[in-house]
Amino acid sequence: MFGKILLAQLRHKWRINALVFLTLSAVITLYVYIFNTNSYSNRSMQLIMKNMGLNQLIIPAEQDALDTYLCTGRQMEFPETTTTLLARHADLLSRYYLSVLQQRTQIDGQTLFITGIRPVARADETSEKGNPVPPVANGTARLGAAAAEILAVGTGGLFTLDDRSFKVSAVLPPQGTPDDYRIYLNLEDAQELLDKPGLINAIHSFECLHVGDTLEEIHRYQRELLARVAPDLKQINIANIARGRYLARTTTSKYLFYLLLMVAALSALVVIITGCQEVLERRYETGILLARGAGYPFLIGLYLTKTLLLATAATLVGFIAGGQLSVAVTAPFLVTHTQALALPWQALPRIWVWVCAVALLAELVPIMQLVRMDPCAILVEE
Amino acid sequence: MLTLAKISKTFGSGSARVQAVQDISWDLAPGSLAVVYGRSGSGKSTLLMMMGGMLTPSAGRICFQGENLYDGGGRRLRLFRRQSVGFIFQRFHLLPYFNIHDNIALTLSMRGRAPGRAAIRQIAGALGLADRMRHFPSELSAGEQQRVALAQALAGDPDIILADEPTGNLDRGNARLITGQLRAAADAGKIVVAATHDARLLQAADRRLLLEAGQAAPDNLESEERLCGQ
Repeated sequence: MFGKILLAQLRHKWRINALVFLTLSAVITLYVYIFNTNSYSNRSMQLIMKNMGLNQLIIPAEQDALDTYLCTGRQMEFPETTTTLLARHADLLSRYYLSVLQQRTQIDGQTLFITGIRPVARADETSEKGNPVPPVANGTARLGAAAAEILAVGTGGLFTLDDRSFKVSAVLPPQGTPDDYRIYLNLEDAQELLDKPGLINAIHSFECLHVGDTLEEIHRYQRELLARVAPDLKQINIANIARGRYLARTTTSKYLFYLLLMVAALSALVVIITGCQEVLERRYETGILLARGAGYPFLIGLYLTKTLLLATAATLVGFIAGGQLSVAVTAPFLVTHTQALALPWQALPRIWVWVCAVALLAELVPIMQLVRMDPCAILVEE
Repeated sequence: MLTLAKISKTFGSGSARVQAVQDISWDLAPGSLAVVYGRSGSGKSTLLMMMGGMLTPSAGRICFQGENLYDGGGRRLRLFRRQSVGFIFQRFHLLPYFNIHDNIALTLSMRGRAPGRAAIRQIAGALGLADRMRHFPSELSAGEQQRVALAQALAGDPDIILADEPTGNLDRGNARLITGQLRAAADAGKIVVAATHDARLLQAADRRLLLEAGQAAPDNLESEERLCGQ
């Protein structure tokens, strides 16, 4: 009989139920649309930050980092296979590795840095999620802006180092850092040129920030992992790049949190207003049921079950509508190509729990109104 | 046995205070058809509501099977309404979204009994409603709705049947049918109490209570004729 009354009440005075359903669906649609497009906006920001450069330097634990920064002769060397070893550990937060061998040289009385590089990919890196530093082909060089000036050569031109000729594949825009003085070569070419076969001085990498709540926590976690995998190495985080990427991530998640609160408040308001209206409209029916011996738990059960059904249906409809809307009309500049824009199914249980919790809590207000009703007063009034 | 001991009911306070029922005492044994009659506003419906566990008296006790109804709180009253009382309201009070079958089944279901289709058909058939089972209350005449209300009350096989103006809006044929059913219920051992202006029902009654301004008044032929227009 409970189910029969429930269904009958859903049909009878259906407009008020339709109003709750449509309003909840609309706010959920809006939330899911923003939630989904925002995750792509967030991803786009992260990729932009990623392309600003690698944010982590890995060097021997005994190495004075200043020697690496200044490219002195006191830099320690270690086997290039170390990078391959790190790349095998998928649990490390670092990825997009770059093996580096660097050494100062003098050309026409000017200091330049010969820098051999080789990107080393992790198995889980797709071509789309490529290393922000492209490889340098054998026999070619990529020049910093100042190095190109000193060598007096442009893109496509040739220059020689220790009697070896290199063709310039690109001249980089000025950075305002010592990197402007770098001559980037293929790692093998540099090792041959500097007579350091199989050796490197440093590894650059990109620390992914998806684990942990704060930047410090993320760095500490990565340090612990690195100490386990390669105890003779240490990491130095390039704070500005890491922080920028971290802020891009947290800004979006905080924005979504406040949006969620607003959606919850709006949903609660709708349920309270329509619920109170429904309790008033169903006074007569309530009076009849109470007079026939129905208890308040029975009546409260009717209201809560109805709210749960409407919230569940609205969650499904709102989720699919919002998800499809985001797939259909997400701005092209937000599309990242690293993952397809699709319905965020993984978020559905969380959204359902939220909507139901908010709707059931809000329904308590009309229920308080309901339990204050006197069946006799209602029926006499009628 | 249903016993009313010095029952009073007051509504409002101060200048808006209304003494709806005052010092009514009455004993009703199973198998009796009792009638409360009096002018409109004399307190008949209020008295019935109190007897039906729907309105707490301001003073006095209403005992059913030796226990005061209003001593045990809301849960006990709900059980009393659900298990022991069949109430026929003057305005029928049928659930608008249920058809006749489901309205009758509701009473059985509330009493924890499976609403068997055959049993419901039998009750409805006895009241001439067999062909109206799939209709909704809004599709029935007043007489038919009153019969449904009676069917609802009888379906639960309650100990007490309370009927507020059960024949008030009915034609002679329907009134006779309802009166006959109430009489039959009393003869079957139930306590039947009706508030009415209907002379036919008054004549069928075993016990009568005349209310004037909420108080019991001497019950005599003159009062009956005056109030029932005979």
